[in-house]
Amino acid sequence: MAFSTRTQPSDSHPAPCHGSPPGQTRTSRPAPSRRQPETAPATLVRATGGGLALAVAGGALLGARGGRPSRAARLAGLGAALLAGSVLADSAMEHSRANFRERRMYAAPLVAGATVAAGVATALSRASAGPRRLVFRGAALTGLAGTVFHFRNILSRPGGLSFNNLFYRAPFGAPGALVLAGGLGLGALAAEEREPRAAGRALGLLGAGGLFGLTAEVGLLHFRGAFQNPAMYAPVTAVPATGLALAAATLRPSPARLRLARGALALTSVLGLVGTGFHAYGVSRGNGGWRNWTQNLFQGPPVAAPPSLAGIALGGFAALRLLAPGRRG
Amino acid sequence: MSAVVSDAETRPRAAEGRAPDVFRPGGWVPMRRYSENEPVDFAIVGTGCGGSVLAARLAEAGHSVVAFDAGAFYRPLEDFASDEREQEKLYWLDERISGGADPLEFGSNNSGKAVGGTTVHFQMVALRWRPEWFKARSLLGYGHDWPVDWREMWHYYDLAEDAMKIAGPVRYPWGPPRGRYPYREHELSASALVLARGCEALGTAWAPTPTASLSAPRGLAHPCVYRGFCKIGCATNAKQSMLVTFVPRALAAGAEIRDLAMVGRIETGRDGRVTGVRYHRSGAWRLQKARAVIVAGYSIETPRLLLHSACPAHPDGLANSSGLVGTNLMVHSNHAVWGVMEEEIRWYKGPPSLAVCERWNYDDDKDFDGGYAFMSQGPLPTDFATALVSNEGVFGHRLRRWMGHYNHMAGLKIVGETQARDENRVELSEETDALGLPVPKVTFGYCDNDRRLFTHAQRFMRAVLDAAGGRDLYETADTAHLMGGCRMGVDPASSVVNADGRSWDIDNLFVCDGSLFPTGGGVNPSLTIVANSLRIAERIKALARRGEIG
Repeated sequence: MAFSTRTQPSDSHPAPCHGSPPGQTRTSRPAPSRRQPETAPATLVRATGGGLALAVAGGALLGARGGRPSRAARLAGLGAALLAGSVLADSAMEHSRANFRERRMYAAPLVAGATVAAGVATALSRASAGPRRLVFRGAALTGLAGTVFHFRNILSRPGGLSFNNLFYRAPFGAPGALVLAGGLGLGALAAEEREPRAAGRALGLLGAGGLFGLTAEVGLLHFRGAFQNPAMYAPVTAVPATGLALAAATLRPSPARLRLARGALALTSVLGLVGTGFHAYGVSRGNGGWRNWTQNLFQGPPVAAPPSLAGIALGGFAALRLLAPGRRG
Repeated sequence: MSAVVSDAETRPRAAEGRAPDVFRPGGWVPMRRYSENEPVDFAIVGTGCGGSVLAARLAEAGHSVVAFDAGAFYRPLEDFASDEREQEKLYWLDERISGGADPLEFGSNNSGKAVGGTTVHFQMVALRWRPEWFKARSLLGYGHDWPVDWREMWHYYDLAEDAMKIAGPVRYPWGPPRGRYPYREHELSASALVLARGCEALGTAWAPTPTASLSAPRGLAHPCVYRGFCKIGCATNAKQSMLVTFVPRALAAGAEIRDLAMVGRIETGRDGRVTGVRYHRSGAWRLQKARAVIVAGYSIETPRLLLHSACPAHPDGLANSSGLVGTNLMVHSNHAVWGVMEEEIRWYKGPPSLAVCERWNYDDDKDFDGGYAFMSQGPLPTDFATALVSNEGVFGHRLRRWMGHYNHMAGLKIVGETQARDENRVELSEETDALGLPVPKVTFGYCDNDRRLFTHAQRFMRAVLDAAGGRDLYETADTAHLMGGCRMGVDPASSVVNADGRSWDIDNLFVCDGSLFPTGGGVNPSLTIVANSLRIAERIKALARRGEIG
């Protein structure tokens, strides 16, 4: 038995090799794929902010003429704009992170921008309902198609419908926000054109459905974050409760139920704003904090997501207004 | 090449009533100080998965504790470079004589020298044992039984996983049901997806690997940023090594840590009981008195210290009436299959082993005893280049061409159980090191069963990698981890310590680290060492409460 003295570190995989070495059978290496976004984060943030501002300004311009809409239509129109704004910012960042690998990934921020403009215009004036209806329908359809694409993305990886893919692949619920934005916009138009209670019922059920859907999405992502901060439980309890209150008030709009729903919606709107602050804090807890925003804005909780809560809440308020006895929008 | 300017290795940092705050650059935390002349309740040798856990739990129970480590007290945020050569400072590279039929290499894969122990550079894989392995002899017909019931270990696994905030899958396909992991699984890396794809093609289950790296914030520690230098020391504190978990807990609870303090001998009194430890620090040999000593130096240093502490009452070394100290040393065989993928993998990104297949730990339809898990891989460039040079002898232009495939490589590697055998052992050599301590002599060789195991593994992994689209497959052999050397058991004649880690011969001498393992199991040992240490901590606390120590 021979003993040898060693003072050198070991390697992770020394010892004998069998088989053909790769260097001998392949002479050229495959071209690297381009996974890094080409747009610099600062440019992206500027472009997103600019796009958002442009959409709002465009909407204001479009809404400059025409009669003032009812309060319900204003609320629902604003709700649609807020939701679409959230989608614009979120999808611009997330799809840019994926380097807009597929051309259709541009659809989300572009259609969201148009929806912001249409929502703002709808909140300001009753004119040109036809083109706006087209935009809102387009948003809803884009959202539905996006949901299909996102699910295909989830299912395309090993594991299929697994938690790992639901956590980290395209978020299944995100395109739904565009469906909701389109729905709220259409609801805003209906508030002007249809029987208020029918419009209110449609908006109420849409809002309640949206809140339940959002609960599923937030629940999944906060579960992914292991509810490491107790505040992460707030949306997954308050949002479905608000959804229940809104659904109850929609199905039987008694004064008590309407009051309860109004209170719950107010709480949800506040949560939307506070949530943005919490998500900003969450970004600060990434390695390097806000100083390293070019990474942490993408890695941390999405800062643009919580305002969508307030968007749905505005739609809910519009529904309650339409449903309240004696109210005409 | 970058190098970090640090005094960690030249001057003790845990001194004068303070110790480094690993979470704040330049920060300090207060540290309790104990006199050398007043016996402390426990002197603990080593601060890895055994020592730091005991230091924290015993200090939290109000005991006076001093824990010694031969390594430096690093500040991960400042001292760790993204440089493989620089980070060799984390390995235990002191001279060891290695021999036998299959001599072991020491360092990156099995030995750490730092406060926090080997966990400072471990690969973070946190798998539980198959329950039957704790009764391997009775239930599976090989190895030795543990003196512990698996359900008890299962309870301590829960605690260990929570203490390290293990990020694990929601559903784990093997073994009895377990509670929810404290943190969620990480996103699979491209190299993990290769394993997943291959396994799915063969109809074999796979899972995201439970990993000791944060997937969400924890206190001052940030979630993992997937920079991929895990194995050479995490510079962001996402990795839940002992250095950032139990060591800070121990300090907060009033334990004293002495870094750069090499314990050379356990002192004994005339009655044969231990009285303290003699250690070398700041250029001088010193003596710390203690009512009890716990040795937690891992499978080479623990037997070395016990053997070297021989005295008239214990001429063959402490705790060695059975003659088993140093014997039954085990490793994990670390055989691997590598291949080139068409798509870009960039396997250095993220924790290296994010997907695992434990099929052959739970499936007994095989031609060998024991089991193995295999995982996806992600060696860093120098590591990979060094392996190419030393295995294939390639250099110059050929090496450059090989390295051109680096970002397209994928690999699968096993953690394969080897059998506990008396002839695989640690002894003292005639040679002495710079401190005058005898250099350990390590003898290791595989048996036929071990060879059948890794032959099976390489055949299976080759099929998986092939099914995943790998081409130009080739194989390597290696070892990782150390276990055994001071087996625990139920019989003084066939074990070194009892289930409490307490020496059968000396009632105030304990062992608590990976050397206690009677069998090795087919998964990475760190989580099991932590769980077992948490268990032993409760046993020692109970003994102390009853006044049965010291």
